[in-house]
Amino acid sequence: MKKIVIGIGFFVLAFTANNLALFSQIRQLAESDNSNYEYEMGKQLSHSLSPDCSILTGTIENFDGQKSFLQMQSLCSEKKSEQGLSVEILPAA
Amino acid sequence: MKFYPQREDLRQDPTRGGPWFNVDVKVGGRLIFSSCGNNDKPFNRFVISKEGLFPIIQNIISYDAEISRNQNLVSDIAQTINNEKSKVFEGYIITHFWLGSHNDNTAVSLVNLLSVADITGRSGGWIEAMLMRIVSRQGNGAMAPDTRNFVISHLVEVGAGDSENSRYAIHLLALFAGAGKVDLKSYVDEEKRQRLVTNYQKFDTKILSPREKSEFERQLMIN
Repeated sequence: MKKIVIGIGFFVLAFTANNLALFSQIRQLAESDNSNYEYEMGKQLSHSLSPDCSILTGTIENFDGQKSFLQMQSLCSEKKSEQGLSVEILPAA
Repeated sequence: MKFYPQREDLRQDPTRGGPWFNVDVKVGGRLIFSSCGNNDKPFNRFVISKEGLFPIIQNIISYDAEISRNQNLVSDIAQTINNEKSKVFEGYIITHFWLGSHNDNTAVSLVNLLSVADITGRSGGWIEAMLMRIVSRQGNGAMAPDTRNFVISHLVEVGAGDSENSRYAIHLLALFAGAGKVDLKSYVDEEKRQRLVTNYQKFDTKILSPREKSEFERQLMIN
């Protein structure tokens, strides 16, 4: 009986240690992904701080699926403000 | 609802899987984005829905306007990279240098960056490429002797130091040595030489050509 309890104890310990290591790896991967994403955004921002680009903010007022999404992409490219998305120029300073 | 790359996005920007990658689209949600190009063919370079990044982006926009008026602000860069928890600023500033003119001032800023900032591997590679380009210039565009001394002596300091950036400095010094651009003996005393050698022994020498390796080792009297 004692051996079985010790065996289960070892199993639980090994299982927990293994999962902790796995969670730690997942967390590291997520952090790395996040840092890559942010780094890439910084790069694209740098490219955008040029005379042929404007940096804008927008608030999504309506959204009803893929059609609105495509419309929104178009609005965000053309700097317009229409139903479904309002767009304003972000102050540069 | 999150949107991931679409064929059209990939056409817009093949380097990163589309500007709408990872954008969270929801009613009431705010976006910050760029609109670039002419009226016939406008496009987004980036679209961000993560509001935690908005203040950083707004700071960078202000910073960029100031940095073009006052180059002295460049000295704050390294500290800002260390203070910012996000990597947006680092990505911005490395690209800022990459897109700008690669002159002596840039070289000074880049070695200052290596001296102080905790940079990622990607930035290290860009810094190496830019410094190599500037140091290799010849003729009218050649680096001034004072700047060259500043750059080499700072690279020696970083290469002999304890930071993770020592590997970039050692790589650059080996590249310069291999190209006949530096004589390290005039930049190192015995203590620095020993610390450089210690760091070099941890360095992956496979990325060096036989000439770079042998010349660097000869100048530092290794073996």
